Amino acid sequence: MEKKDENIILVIEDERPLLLAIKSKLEAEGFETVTARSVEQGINMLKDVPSIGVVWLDHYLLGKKNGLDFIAEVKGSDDWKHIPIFVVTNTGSPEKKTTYLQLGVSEFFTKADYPLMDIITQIKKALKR
Amino acid sequence: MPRKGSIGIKIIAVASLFAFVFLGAVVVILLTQARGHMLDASVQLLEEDVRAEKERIDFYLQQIPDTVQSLKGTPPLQGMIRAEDNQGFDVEENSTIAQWQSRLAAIFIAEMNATKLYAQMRYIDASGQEVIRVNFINGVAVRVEEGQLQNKGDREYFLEAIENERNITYLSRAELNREGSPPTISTPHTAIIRYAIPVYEDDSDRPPRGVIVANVLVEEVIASSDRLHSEEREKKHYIISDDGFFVSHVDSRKEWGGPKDLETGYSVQDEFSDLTLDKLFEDRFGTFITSEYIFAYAVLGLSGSENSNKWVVLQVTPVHAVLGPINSVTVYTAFFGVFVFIVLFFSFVFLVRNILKPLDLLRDAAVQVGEGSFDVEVPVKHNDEIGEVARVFNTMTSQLASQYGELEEKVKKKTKQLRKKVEELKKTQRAMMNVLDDMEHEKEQAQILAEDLEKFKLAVENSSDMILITDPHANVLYANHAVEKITGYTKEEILTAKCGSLWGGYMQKAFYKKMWDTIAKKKKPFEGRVENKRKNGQMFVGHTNIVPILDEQNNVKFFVDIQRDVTIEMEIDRAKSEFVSLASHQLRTPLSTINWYAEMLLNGDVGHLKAGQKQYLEEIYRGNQRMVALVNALLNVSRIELGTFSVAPISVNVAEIVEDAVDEILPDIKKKKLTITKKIPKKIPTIQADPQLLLIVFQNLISNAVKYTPDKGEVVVKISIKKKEGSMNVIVSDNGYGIPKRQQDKIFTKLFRADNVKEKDTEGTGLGLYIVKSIVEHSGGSIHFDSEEEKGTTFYVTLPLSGMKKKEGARRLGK
Repeated sequence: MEKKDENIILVIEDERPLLLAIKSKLEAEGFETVTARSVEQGINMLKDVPSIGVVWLDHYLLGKKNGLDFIAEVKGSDDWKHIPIFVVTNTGSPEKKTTYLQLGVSEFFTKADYPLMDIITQIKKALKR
Repeated sequence: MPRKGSIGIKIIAVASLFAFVFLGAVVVILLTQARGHMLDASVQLLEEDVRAEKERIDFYLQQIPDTVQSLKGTPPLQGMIRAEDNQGFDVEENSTIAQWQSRLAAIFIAEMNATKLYAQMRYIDASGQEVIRVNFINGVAVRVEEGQLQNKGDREYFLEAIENERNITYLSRAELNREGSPPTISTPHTAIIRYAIPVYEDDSDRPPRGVIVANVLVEEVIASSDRLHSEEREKKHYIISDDGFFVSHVDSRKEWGGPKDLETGYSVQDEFSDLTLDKLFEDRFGTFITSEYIFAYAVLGLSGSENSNKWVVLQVTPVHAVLGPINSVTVYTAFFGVFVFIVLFFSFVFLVRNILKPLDLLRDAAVQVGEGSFDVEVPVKHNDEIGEVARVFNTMTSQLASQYGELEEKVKKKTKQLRKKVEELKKTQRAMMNVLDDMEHEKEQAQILAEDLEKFKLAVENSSDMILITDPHANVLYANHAVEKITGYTKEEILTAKCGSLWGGYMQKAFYKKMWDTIAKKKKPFEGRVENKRKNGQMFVGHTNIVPILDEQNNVKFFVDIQRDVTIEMEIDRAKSEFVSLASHQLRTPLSTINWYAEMLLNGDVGHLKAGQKQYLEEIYRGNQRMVALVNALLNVSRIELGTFSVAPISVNVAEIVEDAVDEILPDIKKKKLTITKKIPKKIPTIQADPQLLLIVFQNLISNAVKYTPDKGEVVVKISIKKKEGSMNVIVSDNGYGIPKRQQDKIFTKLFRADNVKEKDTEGTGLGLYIVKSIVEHSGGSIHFDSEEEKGTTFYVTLPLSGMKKKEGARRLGK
């Protein structure tokens, strides 16, 4: 089992412009990023880059599966189940938030309500704990 | 007035008709006579007038030959002849021929200047050569120089005159002064008549020595008489030549056939088409009347050789000018006729009434007698035929009266007996009627009941909900039409089965057990949703409501099951929720993109921005933030309207939530330098409430207070506990702009914003207070406010200490 690096973050986001913004901001803040736009791509990345230490996850993604399916798969793997996951989505119904938190994600953000920088700052804070 | 159709009317009508015809005839005869006289009188006047005119012109025309004749005997002419015969010198008077010529010319000039009647005077010798010519130019007679003199030997006037006897004057036709070949009309166009006389030696038999020719100006001759008339009105005075043209016309452009040129052809016929010229020249003097005009004419007595002109003096008067006065006389006469007729008519009416009045009285009396009153007497005023009739009538009436009196006595007696019997009959009838009335009433009541029952049956049968009635063992006794329609089974199938056995049975056993326990054992109504299957295999969801009907011993007699098909309702709810969720995602994604990129640009991630660029970008960023807030608010509204948002109460400290809401808005409070006062008791009981909903409520109220209070104002947030009422009050007040009185009833309306704040702040959505009120009332609390414009507003939120009621719902409200 390879060591996880919390500076390597997997960003799973289907909207290209948002993905680009997140990636460049994260890199400016000192993260190394790998990206994916669907659940399948995300899982493949986790397999290909075992050192991924953090996941940034959107709810609606390309393909039939959504963020909840991704979490189900990750939490089912001994290798991955401890990777901290941050959900950043606009599908912000309080019910969904509750579901995600119950599934063990670290934090839940509504995109439209937060500046990008604030989300990254909060992620950093959470990782330090 | 007498009655219609009466003798009086007939007499009046006949008399009036007679008077009308008579008066009409008199008026017509009078007017015709007057017209004839008037016409005769004016014709006479006109004829006199035209005769005077003719004589005047004749006088002038007659003068001219006399003058010309006198010239031939003038001494210079005879001297000139003597000189001619003696090699150009007159021994008798010791003068040369040139001297005599000058003297003769001087006489011509003197005559022309004195009369102004001549256009030219000439002396032509026997060979036709002009010897002297004097022209009248611009009002002055001038002798023409010798070099311009011409030979006129071929001219008609010369040839005619040289052949004439002594004392005979040649008179040419009146013509325009044409000269040369082809003839050209000299200007100004002047009409002339040439007078030519032969000149003989005194007392000699030798042939004539020459000719004197005088061109007379026609216009001058006519004008000198015409001018006398110029002041008379309506009279048109013309002179017409025998070739049908105007020689003199009121409008001088029409003379000589047009613009002084016979060839343009404006003739008398063009102006007066019904005037016969031949008749005029034959009759020489008289009047000629057409429907339009009266023509008075007189032929002028021009004398001369055969081909001279004949002229007619013509006086034209429009008929209407002569008969004009007759028209006014006609009107007056007609008025007078009408007046006399009216006077006659009323006289007839008056007379007839007086004569026929006794007849009317008699008629009225006869009518009264006919109606049975015999004490009438007609007054006998006159001894005429009518008086006689009246007397006979009175006698007849008194005889009738005595006979009638006896008859009446008998009838009275009989009537009395009859009346008694009728009374008795009426009593019997009344009793019968009462019995019938009662029966009718009973029948009506029964009918109303039957109708009510029928209505009720129809209502149940046609209800859109399934309605089933069963016995205590669930055997179906009644099923309405909706049961057939919703389940697809026929009534025969339904009525022979146990309730629900055909379409039910798709829920867990526990559900049915609970249902049966409730209705049959506890004998309480049961309500719930049941999955069922139609005959065609399709599933449907029914919202069922089963009520047990108990008898007096508290035993179940029937069950009534009312079930609604809510399948479509549920699908719609699901679709609505789906839409809200999708909209929230779809709307917010592009907003996030703008948000984050603007943020990165502002942060200088891709290079430093200029001050102006930064300012503009900040505006974009702020606008986008507003859009996000609006979308969030709209999402909450749509959830509220679905009525499906959930309330999840947990133990909360309201004070903490209030503090959170205040903290969020602190930057704005500082910016506006507002004073914020929090009056929160130290010990505050925790209550069961949904913190997220409370936060939305306080955020909205406090941010409104801050937004709508001017700089350096004051905002107070106060919590108080009313144990007696079992409530907690949260009060948010400010001393800001306030809400206008007339708009206070609309302040909780969705999308409503008061006028005074709309002017000051454009950013509000008009959704905040709507959401606040919806949340507070949905979770069992209440809200109200006091406000005065320019003084401030206070909102009171009352929450029950018992806490919010939990509500399951598809959605939760969020930021």
